[in-house]
Amino acid sequence: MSASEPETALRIEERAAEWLVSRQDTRNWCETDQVELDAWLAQSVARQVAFYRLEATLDRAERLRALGSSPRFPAGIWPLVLKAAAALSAVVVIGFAATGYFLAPEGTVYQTSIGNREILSLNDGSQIELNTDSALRIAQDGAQRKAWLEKGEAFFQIKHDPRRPFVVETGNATVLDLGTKFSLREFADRLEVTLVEGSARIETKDGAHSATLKPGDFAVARANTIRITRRSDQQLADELGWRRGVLTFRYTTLAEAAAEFNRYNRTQIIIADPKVAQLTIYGAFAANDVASFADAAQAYFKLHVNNRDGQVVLSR
Amino acid sequence: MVETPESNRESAEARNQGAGMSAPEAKLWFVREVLPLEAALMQYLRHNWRNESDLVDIRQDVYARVFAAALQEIPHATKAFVFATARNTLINRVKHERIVPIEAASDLELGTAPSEDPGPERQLIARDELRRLHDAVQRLPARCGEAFTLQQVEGLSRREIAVHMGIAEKTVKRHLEDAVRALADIVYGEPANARKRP
Repeated sequence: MSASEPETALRIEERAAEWLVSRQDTRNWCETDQVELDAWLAQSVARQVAFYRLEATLDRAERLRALGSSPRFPAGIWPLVLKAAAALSAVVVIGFAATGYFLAPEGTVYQTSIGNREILSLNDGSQIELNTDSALRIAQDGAQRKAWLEKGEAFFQIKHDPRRPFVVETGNATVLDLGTKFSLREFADRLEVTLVEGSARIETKDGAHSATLKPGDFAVARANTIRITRRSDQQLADELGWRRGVLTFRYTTLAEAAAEFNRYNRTQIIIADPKVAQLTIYGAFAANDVASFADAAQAYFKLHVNNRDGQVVLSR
Repeated sequence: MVETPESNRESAEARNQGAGMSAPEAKLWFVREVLPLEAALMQYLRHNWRNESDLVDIRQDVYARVFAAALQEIPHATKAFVFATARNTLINRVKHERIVPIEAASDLELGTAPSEDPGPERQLIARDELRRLHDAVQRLPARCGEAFTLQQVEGLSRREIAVHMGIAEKTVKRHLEDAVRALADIVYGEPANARKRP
């Protein structure tokens, strides 16, 4: 077989475990490490299968977190989460039916309310998925396809046409598609771009800075800077989980997790205690299932949960 | 099209008939369809191979072969394919061993792979899986399980675990590595309904 055949299965498994556990420590895992891991894996299929096997084990073990290893945790939470996710995908189908026919030649605005997602199908075969509480205006003519992400987040799968480029403008930057899948999230002070497939060009508003992104690149564009870092496959999958209605947290503080939930729900999670806000959580949830999240936080950290006036208040 | 791993795979199949999977597709297939067969595979290998200490190498060899094959051509029936590969791997080993283990060779002629029914391992519902994982963690060596629980369930960082357990961070890392390896053997290598090896 390969040149690395003398390597025993046990030795490979040891190395695979070392890589995996090193990678879990996200704070100290850098791009060089990822490059080295990729190179290690590329050496043999034996290494790949050993690594994937342990990786899959850890993925499964993650469910222990937040989703029910505690004996006091109510049974059946996970199936509930799955059910909720299925309900969300039904919403998408309806959204698709309602808006998927064609787009008016003049700029048309598409908007989603809190907790909803919508899929827009353009007549050139491109597709755009709008996340919760987002607004996108689209205009196209014979020469150009143009969209404005006015607020929120969207995932673009654009059919490339060199004669009719697809340009997305936001308050912070401009993105020019070069045949690609990418996601954009617009904030007051910045645009975040994640490139999943193909290639895209990003420009600051003043045109002074630009960069061409490749798959796995994550760019943050501000008024006059563009900063690019790399995303692992796992990070990409986590970040795009909203397309399936799923929020994934890996050592995320409760404060950040709550902020994320609050994007998707009218019921707002309030964390009353700064110490509680700093607890970290690990697990996957249906984006619209605030109750499951509150239950998990209650069970794991023994928090008090108060429901009042459309708010869920977590405290010690 | 809304992208799900499944629809990706179907469209890939439609695109290039007879060709193999892309690397990410093969990985997904391996995790979803091959790994759940591990308990049955290990049972088969154990039954047909005398030397227990070779089993991990053989399993690895089988996995590498099916994975490489999937990149070339998409297997139609995963279970049959995995067991046919296992059988060939064993036969090859017999041929290459200096001293042929006679029992192993004769068993091979008789041994048949389990049939192609989906098997209970595929139908495990999530709640049972959680219970199983929980039990599996309980069965890890004490320090190893403690480190793993602190990380995975309590969410402590490696440094926090080191302080909590009064050991070096390096040792924590080694415990976590051992934990994931042992857990893989339990989660995949043992039958879903058994607490001990049959």
